[in-house]
Order: sequence, then structure tokens, then C-alpha cells
Amino acid sequence: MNNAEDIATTNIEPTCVTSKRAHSSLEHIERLDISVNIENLSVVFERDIALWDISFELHRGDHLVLMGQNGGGKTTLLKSLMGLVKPTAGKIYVYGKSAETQKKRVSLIPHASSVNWSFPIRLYDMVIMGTYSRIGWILRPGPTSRHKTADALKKLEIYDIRNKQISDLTASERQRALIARALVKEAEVFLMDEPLNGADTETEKIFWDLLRVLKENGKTVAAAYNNLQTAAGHFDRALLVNVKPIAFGPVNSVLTEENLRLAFGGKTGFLRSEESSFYNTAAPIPADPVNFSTLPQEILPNINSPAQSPADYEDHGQVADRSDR
Amino acid sequence: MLFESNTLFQVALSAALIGCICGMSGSILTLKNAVSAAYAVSFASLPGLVLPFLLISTVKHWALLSGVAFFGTAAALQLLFFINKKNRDAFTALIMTLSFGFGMLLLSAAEHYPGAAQIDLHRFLIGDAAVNITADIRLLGYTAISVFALFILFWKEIIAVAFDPEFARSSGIPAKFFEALAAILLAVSVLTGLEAIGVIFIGTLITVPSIAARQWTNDTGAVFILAIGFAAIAGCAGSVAAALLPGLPTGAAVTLFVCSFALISFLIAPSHGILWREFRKKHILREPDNTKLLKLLRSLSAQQEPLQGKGHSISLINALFGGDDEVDSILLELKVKGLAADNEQGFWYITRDGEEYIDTVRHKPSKKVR
Repeated sequence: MNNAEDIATTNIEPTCVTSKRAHSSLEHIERLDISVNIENLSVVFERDIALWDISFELHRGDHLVLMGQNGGGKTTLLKSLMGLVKPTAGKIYVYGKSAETQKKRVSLIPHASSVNWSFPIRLYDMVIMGTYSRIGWILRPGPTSRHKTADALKKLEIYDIRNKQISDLTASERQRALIARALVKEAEVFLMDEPLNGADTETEKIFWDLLRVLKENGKTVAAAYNNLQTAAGHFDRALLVNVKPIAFGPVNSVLTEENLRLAFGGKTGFLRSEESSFYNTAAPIPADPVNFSTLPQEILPNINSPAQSPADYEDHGQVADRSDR
Repeated sequence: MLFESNTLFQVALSAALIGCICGMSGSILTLKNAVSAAYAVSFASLPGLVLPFLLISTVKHWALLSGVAFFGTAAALQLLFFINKKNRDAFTALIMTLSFGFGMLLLSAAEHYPGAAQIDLHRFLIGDAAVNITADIRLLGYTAISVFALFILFWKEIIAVAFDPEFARSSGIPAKFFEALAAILLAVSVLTGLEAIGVIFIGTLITVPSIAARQWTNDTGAVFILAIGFAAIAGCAGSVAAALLPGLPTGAAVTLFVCSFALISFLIAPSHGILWREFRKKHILREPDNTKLLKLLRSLSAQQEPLQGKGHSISLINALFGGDDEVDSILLELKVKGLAADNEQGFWYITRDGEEYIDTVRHKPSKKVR
């Protein structure tokens, strides 16, 4: 845990500190509660804007869901928080210190497609890599690391298949392996990029239970997760982002029809539709860019519905203004 | 002189040491799925070899090899470090063809230079193991031991970076450093083997042993050790064969040996080998077709869960299942058992009973099936 002096040396503006107490030392204690603080973050890759002017703050134990279109900057935001992508402008603080120096306290569940699953390695050896941040250079994982790894494998109910090659794992097992690897890192902040991509219902159940335990232990979570049906029940805060921030706040006030329309560019009709089963249970927007025109017609129930007219966007311009902080 | 046993032994030993170094650096490339970089780097070293000769008319060994080192390292860093994965293939092809063409141009120009006969630059194309004697063997030995020590010390970090560079970085491992190290190791192995094995064949000695090793095992450590073994044996055998058969270039002989190892591995290696797979299919406990098909249906529904209950057409299932089997009859059999069903469009899907059945199958010891 940081001491108050550490925090005081940083540039965090106490804008969202909810304390009514005036005493400065008490204010510092309140600031320790801020796990993630992003100030005017912009990321530009080779003249392409990936993120533009994002600012928000998370408290210890907050569970944030990130929603938005593909290419909307969700992954970039998570990677910036992990310290893997350097902000072009703006600042990111994790527990009061620059994100780049806080890698040990942050754990990332990457998108499953970003991992080389043909690599010759056993599930157990992959998961134990999560402990590497706690072991020094050259040293090998000791009994503590092995114990932690076994624990995480058991929690995710993949202990029995720990000697399986990762190339032989099913989509669900892969997802569990990624979660287990992130878990053994014993971080304070967990970042997740589509953590339930390709997961079966059993994995989903384990995941939600795990999230509850993380919440109880005061761990902060930020997850890119495009499922309206379940997000509201499991996360307390939401950030809608489409390069620019659309809205941020308590999950129920953010996930409104208007905000979603802005975030998903007018294609939200099918997101809430009762009769459509295409996007009911999994990600409303597929994790990988999909060219809808090439999909077979039978699996396109509502996507081809008429797009919103430009006038629709103008109607909700005020929403954008309000949330464009 | 070459047939004197001592000299032959030295030639074989030096080629084996070169094999060890190449096998080690090649195993990282195989794990990183970047084997083509080895060829690009070896071809890129060709202009580096000839340019010092053309520019400063030197025939000194160190001058030629420092040109190789410079060009090789530059190409390796460019390929493994600076260029992102997406563009790597195109750049590899570009560097390979461009530098080989340019190198051959320089080589033909160099032939007309005075002193060209003295150095015989063509030797570098196809290799001549007889050039490495005593002094070089010691240097090769030190290099091999240092590279091996480097791997043993940083094994954890090297594997973590090769497997998932981003995760390694997020764990505080300097991934860039280890990626650069892999590139430099590649350049070093090209440099050490250039004279004995030759520009054209050194890429094969670097990459093929680890590809062959990969067929035999699923363990990263074992891939590493086997790759060293294959490369050393091939280097040794190839150089001896070249020494005993006049006119056979060392590089070609080594390549023949290493490729025959790979061919044998592709055919008979357990679990990966083609013949072994066929044999298992026919003779060893074969997973019943219906379970296999049920698993396919389940993975299809898991891949795109929203489609659950909607199913997939027989043609799609057949294509994914392997084509030559009787998918229709198996599906009907599953339908009778209530494990799969089809809807009015004729699309097949797995039922709840089917999913439960798979679970019971999966929780039994699966060793029998494997």
C-alpha cells in the first residue's frame, strides 16, 4: 500500500474524492482509495487516433465495464492501463503512481486471439507464468508460486487438465487458462479484454463468482465486455467509448438507449431486441471485426435493419455534449 | 591431409559446434513462428561479406566477417525487433531476395578484382568445413558454451517472451531486450556457420533441426535439447561426408542430413508424424465417430453461442469433420439417441442431452482416446 507521501507527490487532482471531511491528512487517506485515475488520455498510432481525451477515475473495488464498437479503443485503453501502450497525451495513474511503474499491481487478461495457442507448453506452465512478476530474474518458480498456481487452477476447475497442451484446450478452457494466469499474479487491478469470449455457460458462472470474490477483496476490475444483458448485473460502473468517451458513470445511468446508439453508431436496435437471439447471450458486437456482408443470411436477423439516419444522431447530440467531459 | 584422422576430427567437431549454436538460436525462431527470418538474415550477410573486399580491397578474415556481422545483425534486428508481426513476411521476402541479388552482383564484380582468387568468395556460398581449424574451434566452443549458458540462465524469461511478449512485458520482463537478444543470437549463428556451411545452407541448419525436434515433443525444453542434438549430428555427419566425398560441398551435405532428420520426424514422430497418425487412426483405440462429431457440434455451438439451437448445415459440418466420413448416417444415429437434432431448415445442433453426454465422456480418463 502506498503511504500518504507517495500519493501527495503525484499530480492527482482530487476532483472525484467524495469526502466531506476537510482535514488534509484525511483527504490523503481518501485518495488511497483511488485505484485508477486517467487524465485526458489520448493515444495516436501512426496518425490514427485510437483514443481521444479519456478521463475517469475508479475507486478500490470498483468494477467497470467498457463498451463500444470494434476499433473503438477498448483494448488500447486496457493496454495503456497495463503500461503496454504509451499515452500520446495525458496521464494514467494506478494507486497514485504512473501506470508504467505499477505493472506488478495490475494484471491483464488479454484477448484470447492475441495468444499463440500453438506454442508447445502445458496449461500449468502457462498459468505459472503469472507468478513471474513476483520472482526475480533468473530464479525459477518456487513452492509458493506452485501452490498459488495450483490454487488458481482449482478455482477455475482446470486443475485436472493442467498437463494438457494449450493447443489441445477448448475455447472455454483457453479462456479459463487466461483468467487463471491473471489471477496468480495477485494484482490489485484486473484488466480484462473480452474475458468470456467463446466461453461456455459453466465458465461464465465460474467467472461471475470469481468477480464477486474480487469485489469482496477490494480488487478493481476494468473489463471490455460487450454484453448488455449481463453487464448491468455484474458491474457497477460503465464507460462507453467510441474513440472519444461517450459516457461514464454508474452502470444503469450510462447504458441508456441514447448513449448506446452513440457508442455503437446507430446499430443498437438489435442489441435489446427480445426476439433476436443473435446477440442475446454473447457479445453484442463480435470480438473480431466481422464483415457483415459476408455472413450467411440465416444468421443475420436484424443487422440489416435500416441504419439510423443522420438526424437521429443530431437528436442525441446533447448526450454527447453532456458526457464529453 | 584432410584424411588424417586428427584433421577430420577437428572438421567434424567444429561443424558440430556450429550445429549446436545454430540449433539453439533456431529453436527460439521456431517457437516464435519466425523461421523465415533465418534465411533472410543469412542472405543479408552476403553483401556484408563482399562489400569490405570491394571497398577497402582487404582479404583479411576479420574484415569480411565484421561486414557479415554488421549486415546480419542489422537484418535480424529489423526483422525480429522493429518490424511488427503483420509485415514480417513481406519484409523477410524483400530482404532475402534483395540482398541475395545484390550480393551476387557484388560477387561477380569482385571476381574481376585483383586478389579475388586469393580469397575465393564463392566458397562462402556453399560452405567448406575444412576452413575451421584449431584456433577457430576454440572460439566456436566458447561461443557455444556462452550461448548455452545464456539460455539456461534466462530460460524462464526467453520462453515467456517467445510465448506472449505482451504478458512478459506486463510481468516486468524486458521483452524488447530478449527480442533483440534473439536477433543478435541469430546473427551470431549465421556468422559462425557462414564459412563452413555457406550462405545458402546456413538458414536450413538454423531452422530445420528445431522444426524436426518440434515433431517429437510438446515440451519447450525438449525441443531445445533435441534441436541442438539434431543440428550437431547433422553438422558432424555432413562435414565428414563432404570431407570424404570430394566435390560435395559441406553446406549441401549438412542440409541433406538435417532435412532427412526432418523428413523422418514428419513421418514417424509420435502424435505429430503423418504415418503415426494414420497408424493410430486405423489400429489404436479410435475415438468413436459419433463422440467426435458430437464434440464438433458442441464446439460449433460454443464458438458462436447465439447460434445455439439454430444449428449448422450438413455441408459445413462435413467440411469441418473431415469430409470423407459418413456424416449423414452418424448424425441420424445421434438423432435417434437424442444427442443431436435438426430443425426445419435441416440445420443440425447439439441437444442438452448431447452436451451432458460429452461431459461424462470427458470426465472419464481420456488417456485411452489420446
